[in-house]
Amino acid sequence: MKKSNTILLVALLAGLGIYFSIASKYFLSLGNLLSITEHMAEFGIMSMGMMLTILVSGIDLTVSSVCGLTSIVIISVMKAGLPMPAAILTGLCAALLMGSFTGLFVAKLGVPPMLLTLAMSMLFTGISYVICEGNALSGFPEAYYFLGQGEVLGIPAQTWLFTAIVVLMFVLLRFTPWGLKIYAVGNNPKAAQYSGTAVTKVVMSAYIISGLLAGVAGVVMSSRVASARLDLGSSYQTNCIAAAVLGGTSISGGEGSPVGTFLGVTILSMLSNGLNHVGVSSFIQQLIIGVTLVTVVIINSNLLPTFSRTKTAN
Amino acid sequence: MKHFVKSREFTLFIMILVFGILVSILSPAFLTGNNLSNILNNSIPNIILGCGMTMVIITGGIEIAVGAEMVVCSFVVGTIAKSSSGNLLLVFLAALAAGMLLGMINGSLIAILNVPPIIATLGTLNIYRGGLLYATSGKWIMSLPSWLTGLTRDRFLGLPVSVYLVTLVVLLTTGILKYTKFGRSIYAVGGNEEAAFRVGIHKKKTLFGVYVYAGVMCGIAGLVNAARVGNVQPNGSVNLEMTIVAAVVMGGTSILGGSGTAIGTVLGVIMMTLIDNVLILLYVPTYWQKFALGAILIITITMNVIQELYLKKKQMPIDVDEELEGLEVKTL
Repeated sequence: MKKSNTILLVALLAGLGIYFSIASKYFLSLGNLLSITEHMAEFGIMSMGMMLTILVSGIDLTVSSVCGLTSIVIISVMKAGLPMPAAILTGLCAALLMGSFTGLFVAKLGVPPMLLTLAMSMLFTGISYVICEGNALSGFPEAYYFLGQGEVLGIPAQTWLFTAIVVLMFVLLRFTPWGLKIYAVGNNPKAAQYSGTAVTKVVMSAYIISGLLAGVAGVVMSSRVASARLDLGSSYQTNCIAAAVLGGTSISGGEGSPVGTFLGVTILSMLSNGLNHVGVSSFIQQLIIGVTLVTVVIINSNLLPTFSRTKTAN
Repeated sequence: MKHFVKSREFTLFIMILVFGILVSILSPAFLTGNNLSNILNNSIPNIILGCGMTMVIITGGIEIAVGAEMVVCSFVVGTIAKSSSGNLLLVFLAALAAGMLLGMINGSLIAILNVPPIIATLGTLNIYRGGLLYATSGKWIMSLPSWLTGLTRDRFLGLPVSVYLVTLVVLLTTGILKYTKFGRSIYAVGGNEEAAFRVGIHKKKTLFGVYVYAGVMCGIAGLVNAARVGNVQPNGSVNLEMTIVAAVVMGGTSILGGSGTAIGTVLGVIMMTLIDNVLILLYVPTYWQKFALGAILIITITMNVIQELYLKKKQMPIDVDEELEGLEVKTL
């Protein structure tokens, strides 16, 4: 990740923090800050997966539909009599399967990920519709709510989970051969292939992990709102891309880091929380997210010099 | 003639015919004047949007803000139509201007500021939609005047006026794509950017023009859609872009850029509307319809890509990279 970008992000974060603390007296309280981390966890987990797929020059627009379908699968199998741990495992397996299915089309068949994942998300949402007929399903056991509503040492459970995932992702991308391959494939798939990387497998792994993480986010979210809905993650989809791109992930792949994405997630969560405190309508928030996304990409692709690896013409 | 029979458009046309015959056997409600004119009416805004989208996809780009842009234009049309001085020419010009403006914003972001089309239009999708919802507080504009709704109801020589409008749009798009320098440069940019640059095609101008054209199409579609529905819903037409993209791809436009026609898109849109219509006529539950649409989309896109790759393999037997690959195998 570029240093200049990190400094920019941290400065932006500090600026927003200071502004909101002055503008609203409720912003700078422990309770509110912890609730920001709760919000961060949900969409941060999804963003990590999104970042991975963008790193391999793709994009994953299925995350929100996977999120919803996972929660629906979990409650359905639970109602069919499966105990909670097994049900959660089934849900995550379903998410993994969805990720693999998407990955198969993108990596093996070479279908443009943008379109394919849009179509896939329609398919997954369709499956959710068929199962739940558009209703919100509730009736989770009490223990299920721990992940979304419980606390460990005074800090929300999902915040711990999110932190663990960020650290894990950082270690995996930084210190393992797999991480190196992800960057190599994103930078120049041909060169990566000629130097002995199984490009197909690496690309596929990115989509599988993205699916799995979206599933985890689905578990957390359904646990927080105590119901399973097919549109659970739908408000986060654009934000996920925005967070990854804001954090310095290059949309053409090969560049970006979990730390940057983490910062992007923090900024967006703080922005949404702060704007709520200041009393800005949610419609304007949607507009602001759009403006932020476009502005950041304009800055990244025009103003910041790219010292790092040059890309080939094709 | 042989070329025509082999063309993708012809195959699709036959598919539509066969499909139509099958369905009219299964459901007596299908082959009625009322139902057919319904299909036609529902297709019209999508065909207009599809014309713009075809150009965008030929350049290898994508425009996912079309739904939002169309609704913004509908809103402009509705607001003017409800005011006392509104008339058809005025709303038409306003719709064109609004669409052009929105298209110019997309075009500037993509062509001048180098933002990838997906990100640019994802951003403007949120900006347009959020801005519109804020401006209207989500309120509908109800009961549009009859001179506006007459656009799809009043008949001239037995056909609704909007049919003539859509025919004009399709002819215009085909004309631009086939017979103008701009049109040819659209194919060039999408087919091989490097080669297009070498022969002196201005990529930025072409891209800008394409997104402006797509915006103008959103304007016209917004007008027709407002006339068809009779009201304006600020939160309507969500996810419309997917249907349009699917129709364009089904109509034979290459998802990888470089080829496609407006006629193909027309057939693609009709096919999509037909599928929708048939799922309803055959009493398929709504929940299954989304599933079916997703599955159809995935199959269409994948088939398109496989076909493309197969054609490429056939066309270019000598590829430097492949030779290199061969060498590598030998040395290994």
